[in-house]
Amino acid sequence: MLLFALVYLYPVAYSAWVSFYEWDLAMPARWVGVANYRALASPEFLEVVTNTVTYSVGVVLLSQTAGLALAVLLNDRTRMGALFRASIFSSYVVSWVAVSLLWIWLLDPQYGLVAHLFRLVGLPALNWLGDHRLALWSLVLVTVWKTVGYPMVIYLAGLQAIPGDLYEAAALDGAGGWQRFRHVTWPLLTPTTLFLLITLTITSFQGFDIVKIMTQGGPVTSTVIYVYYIYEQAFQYFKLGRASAAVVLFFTVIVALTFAQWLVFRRRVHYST
Amino acid sequence: MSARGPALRSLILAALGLVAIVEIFPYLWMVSTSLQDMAAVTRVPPTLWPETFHWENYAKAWASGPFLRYAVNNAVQTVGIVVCQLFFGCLIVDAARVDGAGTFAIIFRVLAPIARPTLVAFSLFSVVYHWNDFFWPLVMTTNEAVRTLPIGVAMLREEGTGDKWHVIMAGSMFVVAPVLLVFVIAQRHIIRAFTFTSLK
Repeated sequence: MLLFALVYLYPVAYSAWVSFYEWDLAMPARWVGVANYRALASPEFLEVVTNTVTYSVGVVLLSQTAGLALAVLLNDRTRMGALFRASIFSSYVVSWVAVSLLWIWLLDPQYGLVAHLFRLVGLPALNWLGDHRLALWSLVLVTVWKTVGYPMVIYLAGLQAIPGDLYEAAALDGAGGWQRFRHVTWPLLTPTTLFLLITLTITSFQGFDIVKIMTQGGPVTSTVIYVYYIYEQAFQYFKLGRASAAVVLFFTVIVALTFAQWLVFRRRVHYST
Repeated sequence: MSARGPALRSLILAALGLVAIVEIFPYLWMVSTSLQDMAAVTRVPPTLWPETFHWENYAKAWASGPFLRYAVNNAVQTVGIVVCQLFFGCLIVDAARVDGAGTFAIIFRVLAPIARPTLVAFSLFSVVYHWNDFFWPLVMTTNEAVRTLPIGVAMLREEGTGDKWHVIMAGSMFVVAPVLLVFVIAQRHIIRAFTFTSLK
């Protein structure tokens, strides 16, 4: 166990050490104290944080809501249901690189399929990835398109664990569809919802491939999200100290998030069977 | 959720059908584009069914870089990582040491039979994950000799092919097709693997 702890903790400890230096790989590292952390208070970095939180909140809310809706609608074991489930989940196993390339092409303002469909129904053409007010939301939508199958199957597993007689009892009491959802399904899915909230928040915080392929952070810096920022600082500008400071902050936030949500999880989910 | 009227049922089916189309149609578009030529790709309005099938796009994409090497690297990396994960994962379990069985004997005779469903689920999950992985190979390698498929495919757009979307889509199929093929064959197992791996 000690060995495993070392293997996992070493990179974090090493980052923490580098974060107090200015280092570009070529010249010897120079001690700069907390200057790298002070740089994280810049407006430039605040924009990265805002972008990341926007992207993350967008992805988590949309994919979790859509995943729950799909799961509730799909929750009967028919052939058709299995086909829908597989179709919707399929994108989850496809490479981010391929999905990103595919969507650059689909969203092409001139020849893309989406532009054609918009023209067909008389909507104005949008520059999905070239407009700085739109680009981050385009990435959110593509991410939701790719990953919605995951919350769907997790919610389906959660739904199948709810005993059917609860619904019969609710129906006997005269509860309609919405009331059964509100008073039986939703409360009994609390553990599933919290689990997804943790997992989706963490995975969306780690988003990188889609930015690297689709926008490279642009237009200007409107789609630079956290991991992409670290990558840029480390491998394009060779500011390893600053990148490491960002890594340390990121690691702290992720650990804190996991811990906070774990606390909530422990307190609130005991009534499931 | 039993008392659904027929009208509501067909409404639900229609909604689900629409979502399924939105999820699947882009892949058909990808295949379609990969079989067109430059003139057809830049035509307005576009056509789904190619007038002539330009299979040579696949050859072009394949020849635009050392794709055989990328594919081999990808397979080696994926299999290597998964085998190591399974092996070291099993190593942690020390239970069968009582009668002095060797490590391999423990893994193959004791652990594998008991934990087969878990091992299969984890392997499926891990194979898909590492086959598609872009970040680690990108960060860890600068040498063309050890690049993997996702990196090769990503470079199709950066290197000279510009906006030749028919070639880029053909190239993307190299990384997509194997996974989707396995998914079509074993979708129930794969969905269960992804659910199982995260819930355990």
